[in-house]
Amino acid sequence: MISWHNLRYEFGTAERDFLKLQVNTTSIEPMNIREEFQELRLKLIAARDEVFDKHNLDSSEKLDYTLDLSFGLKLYEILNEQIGFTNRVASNDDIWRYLSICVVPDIVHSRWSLNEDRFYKSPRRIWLKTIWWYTHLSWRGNSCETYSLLVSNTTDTIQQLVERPGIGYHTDLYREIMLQYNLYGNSSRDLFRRVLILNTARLITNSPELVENGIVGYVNELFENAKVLNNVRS
Amino acid sequence: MIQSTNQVSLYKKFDIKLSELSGLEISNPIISYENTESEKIIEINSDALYDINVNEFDTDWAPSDFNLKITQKFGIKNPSFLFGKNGITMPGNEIGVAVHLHSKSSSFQKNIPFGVIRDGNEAVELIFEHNFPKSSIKGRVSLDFYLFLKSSVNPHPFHASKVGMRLSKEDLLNLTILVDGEGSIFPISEFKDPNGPLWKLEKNWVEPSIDSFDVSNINLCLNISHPLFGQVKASKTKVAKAMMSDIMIQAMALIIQQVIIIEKYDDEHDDLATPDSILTAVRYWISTFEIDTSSLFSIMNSLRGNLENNLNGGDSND
Repeated sequence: MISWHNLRYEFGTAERDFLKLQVNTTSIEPMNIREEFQELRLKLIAARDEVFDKHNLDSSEKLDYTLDLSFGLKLYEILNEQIGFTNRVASNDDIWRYLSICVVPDIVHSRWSLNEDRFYKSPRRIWLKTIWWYTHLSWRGNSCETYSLLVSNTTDTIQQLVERPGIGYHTDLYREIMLQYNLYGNSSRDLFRRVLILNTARLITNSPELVENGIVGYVNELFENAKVLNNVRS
Repeated sequence: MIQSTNQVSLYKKFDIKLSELSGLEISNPIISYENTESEKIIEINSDALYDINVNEFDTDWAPSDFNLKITQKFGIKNPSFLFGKNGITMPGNEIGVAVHLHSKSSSFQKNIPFGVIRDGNEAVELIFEHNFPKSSIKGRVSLDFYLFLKSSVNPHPFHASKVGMRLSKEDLLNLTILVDGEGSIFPISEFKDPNGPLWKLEKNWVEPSIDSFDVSNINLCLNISHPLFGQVKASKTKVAKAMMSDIMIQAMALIIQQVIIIEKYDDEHDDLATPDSILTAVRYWISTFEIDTSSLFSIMNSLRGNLENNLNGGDSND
């Protein structure tokens, strides 16, 4: 098993290694991957190939949300508690930087080229981290249901959800928000943004678990109020 | 979340007076974990009861190897003072006690209710017990205890009316557990660029009130290829110390300017800011070194005036 807790991969080391990355025709070098991560790399590469085949991504000019969602689900399935990938590990940016630069830089590159923010530089925008947390905060118990729930969204949805950690992710609340957002058929980006802004404001004085009808009732009211605001604005 | 004291409340809340009348008692927290065979209680020094660095009291415990159990007791000697027109809700209603668990570094937050207070003259004991499983927490974890309206059948115009509303003006208790004992140091890293400057400052934060004061959000980078690097980093001479302190002062001035003047965060009032955030560091500098934040120039000049001698070590023996 990978000893996640022993991995130290500071910002400075990530920056140094990132600057050394060279993109060749079929590979990215150098790939200084530790022995214990070899098996994980093979699994992630196989998952990427499966996603590319399933969605014909090899012929796509630009990879977008389809890859974010489909590879995010695979990543979430592979990086689970059985291999020691706990909440503590998932909250460690050293891990995400190491996976991005040393384990699967080729996969990150296929989505974002050599965008340093997406590899290591911006803690909120490291791509592997964002798609893992997006899946986690929307998880419905299995990949199939989660895929159906999220398929109509866009990369903007990921950004809105994951790049607002506040004082910590409220997982149960976010899962309910994602569930109810799916009910609004032609999902409007503006509605989603308004719901999240309203939620941020309300959390200062409200505890979603403690109101009448709990989190479900709280989220229902958020959407009702955000819809009114949306209508007033339009 | 620590409740800001400068909010205007439109309904009666639990305050210091009601705390004294009702006889609120807060016990010392008990922290324990499951060792190989038994439960081990960590003895906490009385000076650090509510801001606990676990490894300071038990070097064997590690967040990735052991669970962590927190037990916190509260007592209310005279619950009846909380009910009625002069209380925070009417008889017949219920007051709940809950905790807001949150940790930016562990990426979670949730509220857990754990007790109910009903009108009556009998003392009430409320016990919160929570187990953080092994490898679930990282960095700093906050536990903010508060009262809320649990049920309402008998409303009053000056009382909270909606179930779930907070009833305590300030939290009953703010308990902080530090599980990875990192100190507070200025985030400095090194880079190599033979043609580059001696130092540069990189800003990657989005929200200074939340983003932590560490190298991933703000980074003072020293160029190891620069001819002066050796002198600045390793030398003990007076000139080298002066150069390093000058770099630090300029970096601090830039950070303060960005946070207070450009991003317009408040440097005085107790707005919400997480304890290890950039804003908390900036506020600490401003108050400790008496920084005048009225302009870009005053920030730099007051920093120099108050900090230069301090950073240079104040000695004259070199």
